[in-house]
Amino acid sequence: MKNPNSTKTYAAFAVLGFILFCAGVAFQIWPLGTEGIFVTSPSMLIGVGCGLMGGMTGAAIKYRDPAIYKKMKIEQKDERNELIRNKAKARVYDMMLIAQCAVIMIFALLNVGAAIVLVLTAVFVFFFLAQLYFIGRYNKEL
Amino acid sequence: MRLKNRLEALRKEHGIKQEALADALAVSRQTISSLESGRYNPSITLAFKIARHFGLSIEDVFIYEEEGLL
Repeated sequence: MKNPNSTKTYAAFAVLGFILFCAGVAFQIWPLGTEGIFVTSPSMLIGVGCGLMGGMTGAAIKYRDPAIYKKMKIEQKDERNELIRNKAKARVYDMMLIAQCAVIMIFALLNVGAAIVLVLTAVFVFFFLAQLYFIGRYNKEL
Repeated sequence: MRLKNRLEALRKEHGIKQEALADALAVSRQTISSLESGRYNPSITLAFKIARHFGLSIEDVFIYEEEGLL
């Protein structure tokens, strides 16, 4: 179950994340420029660096200990956990569609601009069509 | 539809803990606990795994009761 290669890879990515975070902080304190990418890149570096560092450190710890790795794999593949996750996702999807509808209506009423409303509507329609596609696909598969 | 089971009784008969049974079946301990309390009905695959673990058939472990029938 132990996978030393994975541990090393994840640890390397965690170090890369830390380097990105440090670079972001450094560029925030001593900016390279005052326009465009020089203004936004430090925040992005900090964000990506923190995400990478946190996620990969967790993964490295997970892969380091075979007992924890085995336990996590069982928890991940457990059919009840999978059912719970899928039920939660389905609930959140329904909530998301309602929330997105509400946001589109509010934006349209506030007259924020046709482009924003159209993009949000396109995303809404995309999710709806994707749902229909997967219903059809699973109907054939199952 | 009600699905009862004898999992807890069988487990205790064999003198094994929930953790040990969970390990043997490659499921979480919470799943065993939910199965024993009747909150969760297993998939047919897990039902077979449980029955085979105890050397029994599915009908010996799980009892199906149709509601409304006498």
